[in-house]
Amino acid sequence: MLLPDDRYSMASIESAAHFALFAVTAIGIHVVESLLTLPVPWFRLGLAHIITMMMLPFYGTKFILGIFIVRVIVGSAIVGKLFSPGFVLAFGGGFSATITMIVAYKMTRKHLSFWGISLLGAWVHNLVQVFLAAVIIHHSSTLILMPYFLFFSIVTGSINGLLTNRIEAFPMSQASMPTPPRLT
Amino acid sequence: MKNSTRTSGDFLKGHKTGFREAVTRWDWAILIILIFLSWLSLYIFHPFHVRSNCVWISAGGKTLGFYPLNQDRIIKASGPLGTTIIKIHNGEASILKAPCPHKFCQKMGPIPSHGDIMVCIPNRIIVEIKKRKGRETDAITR
Repeated sequence: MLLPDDRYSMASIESAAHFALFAVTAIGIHVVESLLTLPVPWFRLGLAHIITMMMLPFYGTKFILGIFIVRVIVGSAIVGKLFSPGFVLAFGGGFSATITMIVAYKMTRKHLSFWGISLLGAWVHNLVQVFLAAVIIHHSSTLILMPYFLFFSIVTGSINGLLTNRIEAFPMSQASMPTPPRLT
Repeated sequence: MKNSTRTSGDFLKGHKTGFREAVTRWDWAILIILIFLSWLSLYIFHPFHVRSNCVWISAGGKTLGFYPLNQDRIIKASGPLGTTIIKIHNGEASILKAPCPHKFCQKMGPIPSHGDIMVCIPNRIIVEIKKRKGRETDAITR
């Protein structure tokens, strides 16, 4: 995935560097965000999804999913939650949210801003997470929490999406950076 | 050199800067749809419309039995520490006496409605209010 056929060409080195850069940024946000204290346990803002959304115009599906997997595994290893039940929830929810956002971006490229994409991602993230929690603890009582998580996901999705709208619009359109190579 | 490099300014020509320009009507549509679906989930997943009339008691991982909530009775369930006495009275279940050291299970009751649960971990007793149909077909499992 990382190294295409022309192994040590400039493009492959560049793509590896881009992968490392985005992975490190996402891991940093993931770890710093886990230091934030929110009044309710398990609630997180999901700020690392901003990185996922920023990659959507430039990179392909495999690259974005690869960044996500590296981010979750390394990030939870640093925080100290690797392979805990919380890790399973974060992985399942984040994976489905990433796929949702990629599909939403590809299908509705002209019609949706990052706000809508982020809303969809956050909503699916919480939906899958609560169902996974019910599967993990073998009891359906966690589903009672579903409405609260879903309403909260609309708030956090709006925060992330509007931030991404600002981030994606501001520096890129003014600076003339070379476009990163498009990767599959 | 400059001709060969695409700039991201070209790439993002469709993107707008401010809130008003960036947000489209489809964003608002998705917001409204998701709020509606979340509100709907309040009715789908919340068990307030479920009326269950049985007390399910499990001792040591095995089902001791289902008991109707509307008949007053006293049930003795035996675990590794001794006998836990469970009382059903006025449509509520409560634990009267427990052999465990901290008596948390006594303080958890009385429980009247669907989904309420009392657990005694040292004595391995679970008391839950649920429907009689079976273990997996809970009304909120779909």
